[in-house]
This record gives sequence, C-alpha cells and structure tokens, in this order.
Amino acid sequence: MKERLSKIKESFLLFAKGLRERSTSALEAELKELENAFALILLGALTGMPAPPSYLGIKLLPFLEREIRIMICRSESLGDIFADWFDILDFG
Amino acid sequence: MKKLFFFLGKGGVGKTTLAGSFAAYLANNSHKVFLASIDPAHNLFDFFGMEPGKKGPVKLSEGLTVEEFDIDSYLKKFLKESSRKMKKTYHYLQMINLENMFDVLKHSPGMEEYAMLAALQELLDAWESGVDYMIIDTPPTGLMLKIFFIPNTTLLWIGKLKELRLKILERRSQIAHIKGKDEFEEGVPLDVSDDVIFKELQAQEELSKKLSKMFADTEICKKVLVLNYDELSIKEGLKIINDLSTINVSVDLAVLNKKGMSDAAANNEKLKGLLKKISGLTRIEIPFYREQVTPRNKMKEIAKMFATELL
Repeated sequence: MKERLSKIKESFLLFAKGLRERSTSALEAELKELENAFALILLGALTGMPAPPSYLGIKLLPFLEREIRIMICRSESLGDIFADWFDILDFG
Repeated sequence: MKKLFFFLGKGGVGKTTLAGSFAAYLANNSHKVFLASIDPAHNLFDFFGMEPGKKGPVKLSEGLTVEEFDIDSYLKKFLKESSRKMKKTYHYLQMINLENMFDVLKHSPGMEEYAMLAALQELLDAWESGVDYMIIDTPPTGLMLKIFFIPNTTLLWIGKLKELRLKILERRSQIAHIKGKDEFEEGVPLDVSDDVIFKELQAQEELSKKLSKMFADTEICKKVLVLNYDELSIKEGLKIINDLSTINVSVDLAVLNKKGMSDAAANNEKLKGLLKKISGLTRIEIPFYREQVTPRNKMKEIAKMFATELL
C-alpha cells in the first residue's frame, strides 16, 4: 500500500513538473530574447547598429558573459527560425 | 559662491589667453583658483611660460593651480580597469593578453570624449573639495559639444537599458519562482539588488544626471563664448549657442576678442549682420594687442574687461 502511494505521489510530482515546464517555456523563450536584445544593444556598434556611448558597453562588458553566450547562440540559430518556434510551441 | 567657467569657441580665437588671464586675475584677488585644460592639444603651460609635459597639477602661486590633463592616461586607466574586471569574470581570458586588444579599443569612436568626461569628473571633485573657481579651457567646438551632449545621450540610453534589464530580472525571477533557483547557473542574478549590471547602470545614470544638471545651471556654471571679428568664428559661435540650447544649456557671455585686428572687418556688413544674431547675449569687446599677450603685460587689463560680468 505504502509503495503504491509513493508511486502515485511520484506520478503527481512528475505531472506537476511537466506542467511547470510547459508554463515556463514561453517565459524562457522571452527571457532569451530579452537577454539577446540587451547584449545586442550594448555591443551593437560592432555590427553597425545604433549603440549607446562606447564606454557604457565597455563598462558593462565584464558582467555580460551570459548575455553574450545567448546572443551568439541566437545568431547561430537565426537560419532556423522554425526550429525555434517549434521548440517554443513544444512540437515534435 | 563657488563657480565653474567654460571658455568655448573655435580653435585659435584666444580661449587659452582669456581663461589664463581670468584665472590669474582671480587668484591675485585672493581666490583659490584651479585652471585646467582638457584640450588634447594643450598650450596652457606655454601661455604661462612653463616647461611643457609636466604631469599633474602645478601650483603657480598661492591661489592658482594649473593642470594640463593628459587625456590619454584617462583612457589607459579606464581600459586597464576594464581589462582587470574582464579577467576576473571571464576566467578563460586569463591566458589572453587583453591589453593589446584594449590598445585598439582606445581608438574607437567616442572613447576620447569619454576620457575628457572622466577628466571633467575628476575636476569637479577637486572643485567641490575646496577650490573657489574652476576654469576650464576647452578643446575646439566639435569635441566640446560632444562632451556637453554625452550626459544627455547617455541618460536616454540608460533609461531604455534599465527598462530592459528590469524585464530580464522580472522574467528570471518568475521562472525561478516556478521551477526553482537551480534552473539558473550559480551567480546569475535574479533580483535588482544582486544585479551588478543594474547597479552599474544606476551609477552611470547618477553621474550623467549630475553633469547634465551642472551644465544647465546658470548660477554656478558659466559658459563664455570667445569669438573673433571674422565670419567663421562667429558662425561657429552661433552653432555653439544653438546646439547647446537644445539641451537647455545657455551661453552666459560673448567675448569678442582681438577687435581691430583687421580694418576690413570693421566695416564688413555681413559680420555686423551675424553679430546681430547674438545681440541677446551680453558682449564684451577686447582690442587686438600688437605685442604678444603674456601673463605679465596685459593679463590683468584683459581679465578686468570681462571679470565683473562673470562674477
């Protein structure tokens, strides 16, 4: 009986985890876009975009590791926008 | 009252001579004066007959300290500090010689203005801590206007960047709330209070606000426009007045220097028309001296002509 209850509990936990995953996937995608945009704005001068004064970019550069990694990943996957959307919508 | 004076104008109109004369005049009247040049091509020491290339402030008399700011050293200091922080954060950069990379960055657009702004901030600290009058001999118009504009431009960008940063932190915290903090790598800030980037943006915002407010303060920050009796310098003066007005900074006094240098100019109707455009400004005229103006011969006489208007 105890074993059964534990398995039921485990199933519920898994179910709840699944729900959490689904509920946050859109938020996570939005967060990645925002972080990508943040790095792009600060370092945009390198790609010819309008950018804030260079010194502001250099001042913040030491703390932008995560955002730069995301920006590079995003620019690598730019050729496959559909894959991104399928990922967000959880297809496949 | 403590005051700050900027001498603005086209290259060669006599900014250094007037700024130097004014500084020495104030110091002779028992004031504590700091005269600084932030022009990358200084000639302040030449005016006082000093050996060029001296680093740091030089005390010329009891009340007068003079300094030619080494703009390049501010850039080097800033880039060295950035390089140190980069190495601390990005561990894999330990092996790379970042200094060489930053040597190139030094020549990036906008960096020279930044260095001048850093020099200006240091000057303001000195001014706040015990100098009565700070007099600043500025670089020619283009560069100086950028310095006046940088705080406002920076504030616009910082406003937008802060908005974006807050959204990022909000999303991170929402995700962490649902899935747990382990969802993010260690050290990724989830809240404003932990975010170094947000704090740095706020610090820069405060500095820019302080400078922008100070530039626009007509009581403590006086802008002296130096002109010559020629079309180019007057047209450039008009540009300075117009451009500064877009950021609510006004020019307080126009000094028409070297009047009488050319007889042809005196009867030039076009020049008279141009000068009418600055008729709203108090104007002081300083005659052209045939002999070289040095601190000893004409300085007091020159400074007296416009000092009362500024104090």
